[in-house]
Amino acid sequence: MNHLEREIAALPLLDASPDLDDRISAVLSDPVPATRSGALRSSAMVTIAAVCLLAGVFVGYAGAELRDFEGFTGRSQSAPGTTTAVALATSEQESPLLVAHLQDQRFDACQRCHQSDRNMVGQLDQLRKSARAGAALWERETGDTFLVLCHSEKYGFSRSLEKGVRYRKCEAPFGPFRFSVPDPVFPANPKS
Amino acid sequence: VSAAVRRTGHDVREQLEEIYRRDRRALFTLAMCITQKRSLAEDAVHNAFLKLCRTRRRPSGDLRNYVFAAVRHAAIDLKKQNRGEIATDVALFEALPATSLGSDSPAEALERQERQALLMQAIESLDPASREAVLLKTHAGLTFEAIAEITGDRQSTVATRYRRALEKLEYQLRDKT
Repeated sequence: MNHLEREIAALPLLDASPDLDDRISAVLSDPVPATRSGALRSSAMVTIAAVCLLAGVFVGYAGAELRDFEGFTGRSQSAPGTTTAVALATSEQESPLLVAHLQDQRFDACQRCHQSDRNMVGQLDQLRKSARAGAALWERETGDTFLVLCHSEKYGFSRSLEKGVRYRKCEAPFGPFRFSVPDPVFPANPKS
Repeated sequence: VSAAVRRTGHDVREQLEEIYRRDRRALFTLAMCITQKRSLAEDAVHNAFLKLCRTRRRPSGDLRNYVFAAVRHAAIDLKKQNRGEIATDVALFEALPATSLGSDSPAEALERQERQALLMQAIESLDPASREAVLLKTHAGLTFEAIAEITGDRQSTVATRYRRALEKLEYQLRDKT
């Protein structure tokens, strides 16, 4: 290494915010995804392909509507001893999709889709204080309890998402988060 | 078999944690070189680790190089997705601390700091590929072979690019001091 190289190496590189450490730490501490043996994986893939093909044939006409369905589950937790809560939305494979800090300034705005849900409106007002832009509201497929998901490109907040329950998107604006969520074939909308 | 693979997954995560702890600044700066936006650079590092943790197969080859390559790809993807956004954060270095004299005289200390500031400016004005090569070589301590693996270029191309970048930096420093 010559003198100039040593000089360059001594320059202080820009540091990322501590928020990135939290995000990476959440990613690394998430459970390792379940694995399958090669033979089992092949057979599972064949089965999935067959099911997808059959589903495509049966519900083909409703394709556009089905694209509004995306499934995921979630959980939330509070960091002990702090006022910062972390919400993790997880896929059905339990891998993290979102990590969000409630007091993070990068939250998107939340839209008030269903004003009759007083409890949620309160939550929305609280979130709106740190809002920026865009939002998505989700409703439960089978019930009248509406659930809200505020999201930005990579940060998000989900309120009382329940494991094993599929949610339906009911408000259109949706950004790059869409790319993070698998778009499986779900049964037709029971309400329609 | 599943338990063994799961164990491998844990091992990989431990290695990823170690790589992040050691190279976080270099990884972040690499993403900054490409996105030129702090928030996107952080997202790129996050996305890369998310992808690495989700994958069920252990990456082949050197995991550290693989992580750098993953961050680089994630940054390129984000840059493409946010093409309309104007680059706002072009700085790659922290502000220099107040001049510390040490064993130098005040004049020497001031001169040293001026040279450092000029060097920072000169690096930031390099073309993205050269900037990337310089930072990966000097700050991450990677070999030309590793940089070539990360960027997908030939090793000789990386070496030439790096050498020319150093020449350019030397010339700029000579010219301004």
